Amino acid sequence: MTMSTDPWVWLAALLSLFIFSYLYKDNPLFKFAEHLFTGLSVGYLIVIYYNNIVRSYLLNPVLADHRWVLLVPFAIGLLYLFRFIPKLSHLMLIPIAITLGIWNGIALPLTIEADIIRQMQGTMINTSMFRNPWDPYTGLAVGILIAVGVICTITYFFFSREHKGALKVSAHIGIWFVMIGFGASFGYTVMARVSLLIGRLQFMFTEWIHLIK
Amino acid sequence: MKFLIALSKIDRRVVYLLLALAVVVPMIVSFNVRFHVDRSTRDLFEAVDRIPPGGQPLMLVFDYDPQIMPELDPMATAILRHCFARGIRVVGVTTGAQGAALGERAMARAAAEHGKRIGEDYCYFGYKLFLSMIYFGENARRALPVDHYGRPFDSLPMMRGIRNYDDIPLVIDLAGSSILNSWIVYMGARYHVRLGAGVTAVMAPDFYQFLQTGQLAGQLSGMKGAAEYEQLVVERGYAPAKGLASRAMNAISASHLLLIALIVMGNVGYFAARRAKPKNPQGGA
Repeated sequence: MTMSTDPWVWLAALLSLFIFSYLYKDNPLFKFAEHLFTGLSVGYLIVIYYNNIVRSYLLNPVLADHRWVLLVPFAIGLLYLFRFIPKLSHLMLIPIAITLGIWNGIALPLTIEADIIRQMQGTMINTSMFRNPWDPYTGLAVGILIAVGVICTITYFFFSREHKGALKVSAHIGIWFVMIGFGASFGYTVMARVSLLIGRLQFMFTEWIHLIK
Repeated sequence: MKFLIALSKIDRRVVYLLLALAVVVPMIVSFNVRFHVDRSTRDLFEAVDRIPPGGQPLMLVFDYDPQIMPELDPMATAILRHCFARGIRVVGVTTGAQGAALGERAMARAAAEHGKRIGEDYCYFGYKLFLSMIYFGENARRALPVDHYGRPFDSLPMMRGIRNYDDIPLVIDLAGSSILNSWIVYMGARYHVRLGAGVTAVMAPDFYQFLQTGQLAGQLSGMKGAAEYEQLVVERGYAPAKGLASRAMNAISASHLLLIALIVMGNVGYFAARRAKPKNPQGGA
């Protein structure tokens, strides 16, 4: 069994061990690694933002291509900084209003189209489902299951009437669908967390300690 | 009865140790767990495979950061190996700043394996604002004026003729956040971009409905999705051996068995403790 001679691999492995040490209990090594990560992330992001955004979209077009019009949105963006001057802090609302207005304008029709109309269409049973009734995505069987699941789940969250009679039955079926959904999410979450552990241990046993080829 | 009650009171550090063993031992002691390739993975693979070699490029979006790298990096590697082995050009980009270095590393590594040249066979634009990626639908050249290394859009031979999303046959977003939903809403609904996805296992159930409606061409779910894609890449002869995700499947299976056992033990212990509790007919605390 050999070990890596790369100092960066050693550094990464030791910092991983520092973080894992929290599983036993909180300690200064964990705190050191945690603070180092936070500081490095901020420093890294500043450099990336400057290189990929400020330089590409502002400095180069203005200084090299003389697109002076770009100074207008830049000036509006600078108004955010007035939050540090209490008397003029209301000026900060201008860029906020512009950002909110633009995003809402873009988002509203598209969200209705992608997240509501298309999803409602997906819930409806249609003739194409009869072509391959057992298809797990577009078949009739799954179509019926989805339609029943959606209707029953919505009735569970319908609070304007007491859950009695047919409404009670439907709400009970709905809660089963909700529980199965939670179970699926939990199962996937377990796999996700274990995968992260596996990824780190793979790094340590392949690149740091050459135990696995 | 005491033994059964003790099952629900195992020290958490013992659980951590058992989990570590369940992950490490299958990594060292090699055995092959067979797994089924999900249809959503196969659909994404076929969507990539249908792109003509040397033609319009696939766009791969590295919307992930180091925290979730073990799940999404193997997906990126498998997709890139598939594309480069088949001669499909790739445009790489990320809308998450921390993904910039990860995407660069994944692309450079896969390109070096297949002898691909930057600018001709692949391009990497690094971190761009999501707003820029929306604007790509109107004017690709102005949305991505320079690549990650500062080279102008026009100087990249493979980007000639790329006007907007109409010239991108497939966009695959490897996402560890709800940014994938934004891709579906903004690029899918506005520009009718054909989208595929690679997501963390935590997010996977939230996006299955988009497969059913056809808003996603296919989806890779967590490390298992990556392992399935690796298997298809090897089966079709695009790579000689499987990658890291396939090797992790043994550890995933062993750890899942352990966790199922722990959940059963915890419940048995809970009900045993409830049964052993003396009943107080008068109620009260």
